Amino acid sequence: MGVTGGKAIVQLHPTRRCNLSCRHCYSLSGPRVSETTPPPLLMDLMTDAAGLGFDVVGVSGGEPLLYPGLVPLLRTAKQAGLRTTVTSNAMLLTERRLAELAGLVDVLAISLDGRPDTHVEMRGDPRAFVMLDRRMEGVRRSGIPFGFITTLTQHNVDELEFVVAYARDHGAGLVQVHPLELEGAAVANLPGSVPDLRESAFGVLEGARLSASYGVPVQVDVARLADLESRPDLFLAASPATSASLSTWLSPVVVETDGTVVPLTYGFPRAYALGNLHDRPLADLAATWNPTGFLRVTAAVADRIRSDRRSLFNWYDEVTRQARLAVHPVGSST
Amino acid sequence: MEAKKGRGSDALLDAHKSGGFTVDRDLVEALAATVGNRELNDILVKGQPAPDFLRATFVGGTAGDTGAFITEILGIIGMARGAGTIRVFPRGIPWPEEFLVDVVINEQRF
Repeated sequence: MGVTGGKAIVQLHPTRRCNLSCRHCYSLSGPRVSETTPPPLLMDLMTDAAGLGFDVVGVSGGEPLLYPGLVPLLRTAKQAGLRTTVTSNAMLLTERRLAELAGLVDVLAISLDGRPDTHVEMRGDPRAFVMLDRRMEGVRRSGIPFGFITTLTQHNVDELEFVVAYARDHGAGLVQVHPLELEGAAVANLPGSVPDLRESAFGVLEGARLSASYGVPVQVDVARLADLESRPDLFLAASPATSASLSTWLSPVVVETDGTVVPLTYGFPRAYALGNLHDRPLADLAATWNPTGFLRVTAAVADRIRSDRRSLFNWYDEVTRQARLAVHPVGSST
Repeated sequence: MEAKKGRGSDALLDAHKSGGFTVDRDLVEALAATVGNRELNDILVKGQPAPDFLRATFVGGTAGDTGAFITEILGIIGMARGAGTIRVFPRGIPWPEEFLVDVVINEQRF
């Protein structure tokens, strides 16, 4: 079911409204964006997703704390037996909001993009780190398990130690390191900042070192050729049993703010979408989706990586780019 | 990130270079034990009666292996500032398959 650690995940982006306009935001969220998904649509989805065998619902955005339906959504998810994660920039995590979330959130993922000056620069708000830092005591007191998620760029692998040390000092359970992808706001703001292979390799190396040094698990979202060769099924390089429930072979399934359901990542080409929740529920979309074209893309990516003998790669990014290329080949006029 | 254009890995390696260590017999023995099962390309220990210079170059392995190995080395030599360097070279073009680790330790003299 992909490379999401054996969990079948439905990832939601219920609002693109955000208190920040981050330089690397893949969904182009911000204070002036008002797009949201109607709460009843997503609450119905929770039951549907659980029925299909999904384990986890991840709520991202935008800033999920600005989504008016967040608490009822999480409550519905829990009632359906799903585990829940919420990704936040932490600035709005007041004691009151934390009290609302306690018991409804299994993992709170807090974004921290390096040392304070780097975090402020990436987040585009001088208060971004100070306010995050101010919220951490409340987060710890809330008892909600939490971790940090950080963006690896071409320029900041030397700052991972700050993030991991900060995580340890505040009692976090995990640091997730995700390579920057040239999507959304990053296209204009951060050209040349996507980590190349050397920086990705050092990210893995530094992640392993810091994990051992600080006792905090550090997960770097970079896949290895060795894993592709030993477990091609995880990369959808070997044809999965698509007649089985979607959750057994595809994760994450992403629900974008406009209700479109796509495989793997926000912004995945619409040509491969399962459909839109405004038209039909997820169970119907899953039952009628023809994944042949999508699986052709994942197989092509796997073949290319094996052929190039690439030791490390960002699988999600590779598949997304290959899918775009398949829809709009280089040199086509569209 | 317009203010910071360099590679993060260069800054990381600079930080390793600025770490420093004192060479003594225990350190050399501990380091030798640690690198014992690695592919050692070169090792040089100088200084009588006590060693005061050590240079070792060895294959760290994959990125994950090398990260754990550097942690071991840093644990042995400590993080006191002085004259010592650890340099890590990705080996394999265009995709680094393994990392070469070069450790130099000079005893710091005040």
